[in-house]
Order: sequence, then C-alpha cells, then structure tokens
Amino acid sequence: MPATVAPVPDIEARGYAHPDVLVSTQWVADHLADPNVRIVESDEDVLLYETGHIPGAVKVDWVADLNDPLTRDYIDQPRFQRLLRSKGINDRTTIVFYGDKNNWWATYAFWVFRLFGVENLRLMDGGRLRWAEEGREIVTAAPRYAEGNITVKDRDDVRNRVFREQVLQHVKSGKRLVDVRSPEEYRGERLHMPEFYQEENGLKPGDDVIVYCRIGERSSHTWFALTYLLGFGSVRNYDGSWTEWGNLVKAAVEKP
Amino acid sequence: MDRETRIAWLVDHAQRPRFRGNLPDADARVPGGNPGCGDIITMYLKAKEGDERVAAVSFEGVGCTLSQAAASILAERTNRLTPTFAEVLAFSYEEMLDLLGRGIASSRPQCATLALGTLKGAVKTVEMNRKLRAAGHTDEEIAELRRAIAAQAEGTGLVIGEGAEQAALNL
Repeated sequence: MPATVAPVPDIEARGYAHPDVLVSTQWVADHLADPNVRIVESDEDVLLYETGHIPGAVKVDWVADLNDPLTRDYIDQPRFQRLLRSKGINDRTTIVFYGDKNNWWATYAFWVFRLFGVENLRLMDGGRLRWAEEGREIVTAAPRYAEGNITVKDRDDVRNRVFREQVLQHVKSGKRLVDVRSPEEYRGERLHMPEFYQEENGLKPGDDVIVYCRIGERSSHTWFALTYLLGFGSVRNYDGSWTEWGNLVKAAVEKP
Repeated sequence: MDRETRIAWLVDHAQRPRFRGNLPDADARVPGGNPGCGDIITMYLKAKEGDERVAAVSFEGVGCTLSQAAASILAERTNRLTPTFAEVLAFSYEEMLDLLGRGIASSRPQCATLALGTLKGAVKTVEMNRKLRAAGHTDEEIAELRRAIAAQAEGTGLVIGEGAEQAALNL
C-alpha cells in the first residue's frame, strides 16, 4: 500500500450512530472470496467499471438497471428481484456498495435497495478512490455468478422516499427541508425550494427531514449520512428534487 | 460490433485518446460543459482556407469515460472525413448515439453528445467569424454573437461556449 495514502480513523472510533453500515477497504479485501458477500459497484461514469473494478465486484447502473425505462421512476419488484438474482444475490448475502464521486451513486443504489426492503447492506468507506489510491487490485474481467435466490419485498415508497405533494405539506408545516446542491445552485444563479436548510443549519436527529438536490442522487448521500452516521430517525429523499420542483407550475421558490 | 467489443473500443479511446491536445493554429477554440456530471470538452478546429470544410480538429477534456471516448471517436472521424461545415451541423445527436452504440450511450446522452455539441459550436464560431470579418464587424459585436451561440445550447442540458467550464464545475 503506498505511503502517500493518509490513514483514516477506525470506523468504530468515529462516533457514528450505526458504524456497522460501513466497511473498510481492508474488510472488503479480506472478504473477496466470501460467498456470502457481494460487492456492487455503482458509478456515475457508465464505463468506469469496465476500465477496472474490485475483483469479483458486479456492476449496477442507476440508469440502465434501476430506472424504469419509460416512466421517471424505479423498476418494479419483479424486475428488481430478477436484477439481484442475476448478480448471484441470495437472502443471506451481505451487499457492499462502492463507487465513484465519493460514493454518491453507491449511496443512491443503497437507497433504492432499501426501498425494496433489502437488508444486509454496507458501504465501503472511501469508495472506489480510496481502494485505488491504496494500490489495491483492480481487474477488468467481469465475474459470473450462479443465479441467486433472494426474495425482495414490494417497493416501499413511504418510509425513505417522498413525493411532491408530501413535500408541499412538509414545507407548509414548517418542517426541515435540506438542500444539498452546490452553493451556486442554491443561491439564485440557481433558485431553491422554500424553507430550505443547508447542511450546516443546525439539524437535530429528532427532526423530520426531507432532503433534495437536482435529481436525488446527492441527497441520497445525505439521506445515508443523516440516517446511518448521525442517527436521524426520519429522513426521506425527494428524488423528484429540483428537476421536478423547478418545473412545477406555481411551485413556491425562494432566492436568498 | 457486439456489446463487449464496443465497450472495449470505448474504453480504449478513453484511455488512449486520439487527437488529444491543442491545435496551435486553430481558427476556433470552443469549450463545452456538462453540468450534469462535470464533463468538460474543449474543441479546437482548423478550417480549410477559403472553403467551408473542416481541415483538422483536436480536443482537450476531463470527465467520465464516455464523454472522453466520444470526443476521441468524434475527432478521429472528423479528421478522417474532413466534413463540410454543413455536414458537421447536420450530424445529429441521435447519429452520435448510434456511432458510440446506443445500448451503452443512451443511458448517458449528455455525456455522449457533449463533444458533438462542442464541435458544432466550433463550426458555428468559425462560420460566424468569417462572416463578421468580411462584414467589418468589431470584436465587441463578435463577442455578442458568440454569446448567442452559447444560448443555442440552452435546453439541451449542455453549455457550449464562454463560461462552459465554470458551469460544468458548479455542481
């Protein structure tokens, strides 16, 4: 491992609410041959997996695999179950996500998997970049696994997901809405939804929180951090996000 | 070309880009950005003297594998065919997806078409500069018209022309 890679504190020592949801790159390296672990790469870059990936890792693409091909929505239960089985995933499999862009798309896939009630999900701390910077093995050969037998539930669009009408009610009742887009998007070169609170604005774990960004992927990262690392009990991701809200006729918009 | 061969071809172009670098005597240098994921392509275009035809192109860029592969493939194709300006402008975004492989590229259409949009912007820049120079227009007037080129990209999700790099990085 190159000496240039800065050491990071042990996950257990960081004070996270649910540290077990994160695994280290070393943990992944130690479980490459574990038949009960499936490593899943989820990237923004559609061809990054093909340039090389963690040995044994499978690819899940957020557009080609998770999005419904016609409607702006996610695939249904039968298709999702077929997808996971095609990756050799069983009911007892521990699924470890990693990806590019600071695990944005890995947490996005994590969030979608949670919509279907999939348990045993983990995120590789540091993502693809840390694995690469540590000089760990990267391969191009795609693995083949025997068909899995996982059974997934119907998609639950209530617990972790929220739609525009609910967002509107949430805003009207003065509850917390977190905008996790860039400062330029949030200031009014780019406008924002009303009653927003950016991440530094003193949220409390007991707050009922909705997170949004442009299409819901950055906010899925925040959903992950608030829920699993900071222990918030009620965080929902508005995947319609600014793309939907900013185009809704007469939707309330603020500019700071 | 089967899917695996096509993926290998795209990855090869991204990892060993053809015609990458600036073109010192270019008639146009036009940046394009994809704010969706931060891809940037800067296209250099040299036109044939006295002819409405591309003589040579090159590009610089950063971004995802597909956006950089697309720029390399488009630059290679353009240098091989040396198309007329009209042919570049007529080459559609749909045709670009077909060139790259619709099965892969259609899931990231903005990444796939950024290079083409930027190349079209470079052609329009050269066309406009020639007309304006012939008509005796001032540099300020030329700058204003270049801003109009940038505005043409509105609604495509891409930003072509002045300010494109910054727009792409403002995520």
